[in-house]
Amino acid sequence: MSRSKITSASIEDSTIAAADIASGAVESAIATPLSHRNLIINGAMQVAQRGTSVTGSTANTYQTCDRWYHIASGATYNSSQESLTIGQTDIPRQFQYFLRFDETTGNNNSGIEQRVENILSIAGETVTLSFYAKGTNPGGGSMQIEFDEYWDGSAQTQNTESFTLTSSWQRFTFTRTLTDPTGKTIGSNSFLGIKFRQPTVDTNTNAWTLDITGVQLEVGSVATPFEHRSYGEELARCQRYFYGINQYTNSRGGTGWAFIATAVAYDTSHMTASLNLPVTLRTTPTISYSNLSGQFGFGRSGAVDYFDTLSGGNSDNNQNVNIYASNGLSHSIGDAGYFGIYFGSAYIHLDAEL
Amino acid sequence: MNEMTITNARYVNSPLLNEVDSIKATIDGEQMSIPLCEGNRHYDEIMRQVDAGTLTIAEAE
Repeated sequence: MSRSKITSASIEDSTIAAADIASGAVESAIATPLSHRNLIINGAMQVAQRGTSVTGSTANTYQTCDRWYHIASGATYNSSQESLTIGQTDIPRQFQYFLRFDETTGNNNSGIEQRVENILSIAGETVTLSFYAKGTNPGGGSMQIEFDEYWDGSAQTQNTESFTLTSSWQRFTFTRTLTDPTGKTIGSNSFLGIKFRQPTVDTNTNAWTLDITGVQLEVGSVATPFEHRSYGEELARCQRYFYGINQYTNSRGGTGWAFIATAVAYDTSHMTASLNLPVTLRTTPTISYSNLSGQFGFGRSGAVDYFDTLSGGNSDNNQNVNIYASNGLSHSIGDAGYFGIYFGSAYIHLDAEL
Repeated sequence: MNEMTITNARYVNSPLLNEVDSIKATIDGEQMSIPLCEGNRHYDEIMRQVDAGTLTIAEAE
């Protein structure tokens, strides 16, 4: 039959019975790749600007794989970006990495969370969460998913589901209908938080491990195949929330100076350098940096001043930040040169996370 | 939300305009320069703890 002959008016009610549809025909249509379905950023755990592993952490903060907030809640955990074996067939071969969240001492409410910006964009919608996971369960025998709706700074609606990990990869799917936005007040940090954690009622301190990848949240009641995004696309999305400036390996395979920006001696005691950010950040970022003696440098007039600490400036915004330093400098007013990172393990982090 | 551990919070004067333009603090063990910007999660948490009376920000030096 010609497709041009098929219209809603030309097909009478009950003309097509379920038995008339070839097995897989509808699934094939559903599986047609459509871009921008996945609201989760870095669901395939490709990007790890902060580093690929931490051990013995008790911090509630972002660690390892970008966009994944780690919740200790009294637990102690290791976290790492792990590689899947090339050629594995346990999950689709498009995946190269997974996040391993490994609690050595468990506690209730501990786990990982992704905060999806701007809850208004999906408010009132039916959404489906899907992911691949394996591992071992907390002492109570199961894991918990929590959907937290943050409208104006606190979680106002919380829904939970449970799932059970095994030693084999499984794809889990959960469908929820989010709260209607009518009458809600929206704050500067509204988001939908999706937590994968030890259940609230499970206060057991047993160790457990969650291996997870292919996390997808999409509008609708069907879990479609995971939406592939290139590393470059995913990195740019991650950089809206976090931009890590790290020491680079130079072209000779070793480490050397990482020249970050041109810099000038603003007055007798201050160097200033402006960093243009690769993408527009969500908000004006917090600046943090490593803690190493002489880790930064201001190269000018044939010499280098080494220094340890720096600050943001009052011209900072979400497109560029003005860094200045005042300790360890011996320049003359008007000197111009470069601002750089000296040590291999030194870093500057710009954080605009939710 | 899980509370951040914030210590050594101090306002910082901009050398460019000689007015307070950021807060320096140690948050969860890391040195940070925090902009005075609502919507920045560190600034929001600092203000929440100040309002709760559990944190004091020292004056700029």
